[in-house]
Amino acid sequence: MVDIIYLARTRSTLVWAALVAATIGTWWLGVHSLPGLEDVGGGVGAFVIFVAMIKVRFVAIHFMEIGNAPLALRLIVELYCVALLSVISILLLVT
Amino acid sequence: MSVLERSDTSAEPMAATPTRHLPGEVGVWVFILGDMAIFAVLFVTYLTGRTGDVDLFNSSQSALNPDFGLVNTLLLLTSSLLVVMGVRSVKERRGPGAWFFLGAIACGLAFSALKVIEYSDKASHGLTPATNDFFMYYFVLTGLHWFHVALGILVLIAMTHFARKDDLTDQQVAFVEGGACFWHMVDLLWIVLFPLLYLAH
Repeated sequence: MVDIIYLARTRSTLVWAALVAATIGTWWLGVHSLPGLEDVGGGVGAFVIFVAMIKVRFVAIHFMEIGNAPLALRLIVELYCVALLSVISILLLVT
Repeated sequence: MSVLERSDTSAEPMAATPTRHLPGEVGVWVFILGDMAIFAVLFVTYLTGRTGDVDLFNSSQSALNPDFGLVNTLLLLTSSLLVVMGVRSVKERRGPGAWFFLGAIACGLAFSALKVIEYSDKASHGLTPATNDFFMYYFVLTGLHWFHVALGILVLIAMTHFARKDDLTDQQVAFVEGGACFWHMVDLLWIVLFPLLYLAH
């Protein structure tokens, strides 16, 4: 038990808690139409995707240890997140 | 040989970024980045298809149950944390590493069970890949992802086997690290798929 507590006492556990909170938050936002937000159209979808890409970055940097990986790999992953977020947001907002 | 070893270790602190470390083998990363690129293309293809008939996609999306997607996301996130703890346990030789990986496998199996329930629910309502473009994308994207979950479970089984060993070679540790990254990628892809298919409209 002591070992399990030791292994859980990492930044990854905090990251996991933040990811769970963000997941529940965006699920709630996606399911419930907030008054006044109906007119925003693709705005809510784009926001939900924005949060998702922040989550992706957290998973990559903390869980996949990209934060400590060779810089070339980190650069590729950061560019991936920015490029995907941009393209998805544009395609959601133009419709 | 000993001279070589000594010169290798003495050269290490002089490297520009001595603490930077690639988890797993290079080949694993080629595979992971390739998979991420393929899924990125699929995400964009889905959204491009959506621009052709937004109303159809939005009305079809409302037939999905986001609660399944939510629980599946939480399962994969938790499995990822278990894998992180398992890798740390293996590398520091402390704690029950294999049990963490078994926990992650359990999460993967629960994800799969929910997928079976979800797909049968859709089928019972007559919703199949042939229904319309949205459901074609829905089944192809989630099905391809599910295939990766199944692959990941096999990798986790091998990681459990290694975690039970007392002494691991550097290659075996690299396999555990690379396998962990593959599993995290499965989690990462679902993090995008869930809002894209279930929430964004």
